[in-house]
Amino acid sequence: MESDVRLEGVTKRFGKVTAVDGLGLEVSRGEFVSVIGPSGCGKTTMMRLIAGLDQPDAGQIWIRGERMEGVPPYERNIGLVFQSFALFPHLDVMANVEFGLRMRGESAQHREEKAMRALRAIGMENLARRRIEQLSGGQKQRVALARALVVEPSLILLDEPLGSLDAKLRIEMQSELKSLQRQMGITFIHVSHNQGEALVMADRIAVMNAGRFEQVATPTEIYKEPRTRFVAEFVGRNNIFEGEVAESRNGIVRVQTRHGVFAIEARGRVPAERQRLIFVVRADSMRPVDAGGPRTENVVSGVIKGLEYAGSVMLMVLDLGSDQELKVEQHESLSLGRAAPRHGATLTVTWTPADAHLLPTP
Amino acid sequence: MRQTHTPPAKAPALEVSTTLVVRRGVAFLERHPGVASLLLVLPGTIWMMLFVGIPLASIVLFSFWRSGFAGLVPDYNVENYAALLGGRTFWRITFWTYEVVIIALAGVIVLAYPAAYAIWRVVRDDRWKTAVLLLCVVPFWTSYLTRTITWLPMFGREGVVNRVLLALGVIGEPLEILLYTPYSMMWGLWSLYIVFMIGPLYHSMTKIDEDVMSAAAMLGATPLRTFFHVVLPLTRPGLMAGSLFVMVLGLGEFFTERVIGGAQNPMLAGLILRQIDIFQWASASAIAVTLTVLTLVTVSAMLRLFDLRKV
Repeated sequence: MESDVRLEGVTKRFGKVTAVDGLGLEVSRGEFVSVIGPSGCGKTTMMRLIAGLDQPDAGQIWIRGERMEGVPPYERNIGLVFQSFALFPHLDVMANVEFGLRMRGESAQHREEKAMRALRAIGMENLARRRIEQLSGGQKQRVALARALVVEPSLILLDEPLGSLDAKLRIEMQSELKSLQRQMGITFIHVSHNQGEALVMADRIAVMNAGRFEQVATPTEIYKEPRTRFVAEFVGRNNIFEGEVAESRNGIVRVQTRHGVFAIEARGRVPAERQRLIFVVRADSMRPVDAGGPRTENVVSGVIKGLEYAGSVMLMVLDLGSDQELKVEQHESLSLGRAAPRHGATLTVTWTPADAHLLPTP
Repeated sequence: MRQTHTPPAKAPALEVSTTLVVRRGVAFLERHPGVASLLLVLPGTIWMMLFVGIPLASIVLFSFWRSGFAGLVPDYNVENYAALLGGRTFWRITFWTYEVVIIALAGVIVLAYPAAYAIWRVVRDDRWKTAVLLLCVVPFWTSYLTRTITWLPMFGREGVVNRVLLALGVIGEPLEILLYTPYSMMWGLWSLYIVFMIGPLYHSMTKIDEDVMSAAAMLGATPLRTFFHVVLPLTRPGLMAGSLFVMVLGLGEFFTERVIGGAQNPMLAGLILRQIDIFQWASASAIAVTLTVLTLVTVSAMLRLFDLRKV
């Protein structure tokens, strides 16, 4: 099947700075792709290039098989939802939603019908004649979405769409966005620095760093099997270890690190002995062990130097010495019957070889 | 220099009394904030009374007097107004004044919008923006008279423009339309007033969110349609502010009409001067009062159309 959006070697420079560098991406019809990365990684530039608001210095962008070079934004039929919402302050809710239809020369009757349908879909049919400044953040967000969707675009771009909403509303809007996208079957490309948002909504996630994609994969893959150190650091709460292969046998790789030898499930990989590599263990894989209990492999001890209680989980930072920290995420149910952790106490944790993940590239 | 070893009890008596007075005064004003605000507006009020209030009041007063051989005679009557409002000349000139001002305003709007838009959207570099805006303003660092008078060597029969066009063979004989005609007066007014429109328009354009402009494009609006559907409605405050400037300046206009327009078709302000020239002080005052009232009515009508205070 022809991909809905295709990027090939897309590069954009601002002066001496290369904002995006040879981006390649294929998005199929009806897919929800999230592009995440730290601020300044080039994700907004990528979005503006797809939208046609900026022109790439090199590379090509195709939308529904059409090359976008030289096509101005107003002929691309792309819906863009801005972080600032960018609603027209001089128009009411209805006129904002109708704007795209008006520009397409649709009759007043058609416009009204379609706009009302869109407003109903977002539960705002009663606020059609409200002025924009009278709306709450969540309502503005919905209007911005309805305005983009009502013209039936071939693609919706969302630029940090939930960035200016409060936490509770953001979670509501996440599921609402996702279900709207499912219903309409429109391709969504969502740009965010919030990995949580991406993990919840996206079919695929592209992790971006310094203008390049580090990894493009499903949320589960990104979360469980990061390809690069950057992805491991950016997504989830991962502990990163560097070491040298001591032994590779029976599907288990043993890696010598500064903190001892650790066993890792190889998953089909056979790294050479003495090869340097990086492996990661998620903070939520860590299991505390009682001091003096049966000690097997993959055991480390450290002094608790950070404690953060986040409802059902306790986040701890252990000092392992020689500048290495260990993040431990402990579910409350697991700490039952144990003394509450406190600052300065020593904690011993363990994980299974299956919990550790070898990065494919050192 | 303060002497640190002097005990406070031996401080100079004058110093003590002044600080005491100041302290008591401040305490009094703190207890009576109404008095404090009254004191704050007092200097400005006195200034305005001296240079606006009293002159205006005297003009109103004079307009009910009579012009005698030796000057104004305090002989109260409404003859000046009766003669003015009863005669055809006044009404003809009033309509002419509004015709000129409205055409001037329309022309200024049509000329200033693209200019402001270009400075806002086309000039990308901030330094160039400042430079271009400055170029618009620099002529206004010279006096109004100088700017008007420079039209004479520029556009006169023997002026630069005619000479150049003659030399190039574009025209056979000097163009007469360039100076001392209603048309030349209008060009003069446009060139004098355009900056009063570009400034406010540019200012309201820069207040438009860049994302809103992009949003219009993403929704399928060409730059032209974006201009009419987004920029135009959102720059109404600037348009209104600029229009008020042009309206008020235009209604009081006399010099451009005299110098560039050839002094053939006076407007209301010009009529005042012509009355003064023939020592009709009382009649001149009556016209002045009428013009002031007309200006006030026009401005309030415009504000009713669009209230700047709501922005």
